[in-house]
Amino acid sequence: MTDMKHSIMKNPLMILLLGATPALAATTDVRSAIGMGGAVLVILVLSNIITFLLKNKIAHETKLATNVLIVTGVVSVVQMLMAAFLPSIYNMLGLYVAIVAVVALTSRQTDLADEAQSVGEAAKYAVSAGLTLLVVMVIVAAIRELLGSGSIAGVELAFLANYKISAMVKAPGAYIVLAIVAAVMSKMGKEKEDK
Amino acid sequence: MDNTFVAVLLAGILANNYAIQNFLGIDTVLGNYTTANKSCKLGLLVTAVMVISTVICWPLQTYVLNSMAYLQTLAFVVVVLIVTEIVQKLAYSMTQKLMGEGFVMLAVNGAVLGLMIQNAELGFGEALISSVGVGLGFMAAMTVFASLRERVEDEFVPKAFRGLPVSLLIAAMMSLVLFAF
Repeated sequence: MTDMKHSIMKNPLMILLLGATPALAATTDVRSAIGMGGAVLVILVLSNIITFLLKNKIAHETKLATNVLIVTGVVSVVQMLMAAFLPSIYNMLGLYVAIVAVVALTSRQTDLADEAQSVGEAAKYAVSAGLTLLVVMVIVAAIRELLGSGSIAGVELAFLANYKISAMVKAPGAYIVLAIVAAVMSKMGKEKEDK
Repeated sequence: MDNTFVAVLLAGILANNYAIQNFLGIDTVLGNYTTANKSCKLGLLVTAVMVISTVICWPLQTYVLNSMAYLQTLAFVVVVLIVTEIVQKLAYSMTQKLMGEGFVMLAVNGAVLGLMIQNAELGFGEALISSVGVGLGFMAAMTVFASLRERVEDEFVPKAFRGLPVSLLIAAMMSLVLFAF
């Protein structure tokens, strides 16, 4: 069982599937992608460490609920910190920072932290998942922002001003770009396996 | 009066579909590998969770949380968790048949929490109608998605696109269809 879970978390496509909400919603703009990806990374690392430290203190029956509450507590802290120090990015993300509390990725990660042998191992899972999501989100956001609003991280590119594809910043564009990026990742992963 | 209610209901189901258009709870829809028939029933249970949670969360927001906005996320997640557990206990035989123990993980999703946060700014009647609409929209998204995925046979999909990428392309087509509204 544990081995299966580990192989699932090593698969970057699985991380994308579980973290699809932030990966799709916060990628209209490179700045919001970096903000959201960074927030998810911090939330995953902190909640995994806290879950690991508390794992022997919590009864098995209430584990699911307490893990969700630990993540939500961390999310509230991150929300307040972002509202205080990064208000422009926080306003851009809207309610999606709060949603990270109930995204499947965080609960799957705290499951892993429960089974980890040491704090370092629990943090390692969180860092690898968070970094994967962050990198993919920045790539997707760069493509969507370039094609959809003709800019990169808010800097307008003059030669693209007349070639904006408005669907790219809306929902279908998000799905299509993420699908292509995921397909490329899956192809690269397979080639690595073959070698 | 009646017209706005119908508009709010239809917006939740079609134009403002939470899972497909706003990505709230899309991870639940993409990661749900049950059949269309089961997805439909699960969607109905999620709708029940949404409506009951709204009945609790809206007064909580209006009378208690206005002075303590920083507790909003935590309070709403606690309410949604408790309501989900209660719904699971009430419909125990049904959820066991459909999902086993996974129902809590499925029902505590982004769509429910996002709905609670957005409902906090509406009137009570409107919030209630919108929770029914969004719940039915979520059910529709899950059912349509599950039945579409059953029809996409893996053999005809290029190797690199199997699994998640082709699911995302199905979702892209669903969101293009919903743009028509």
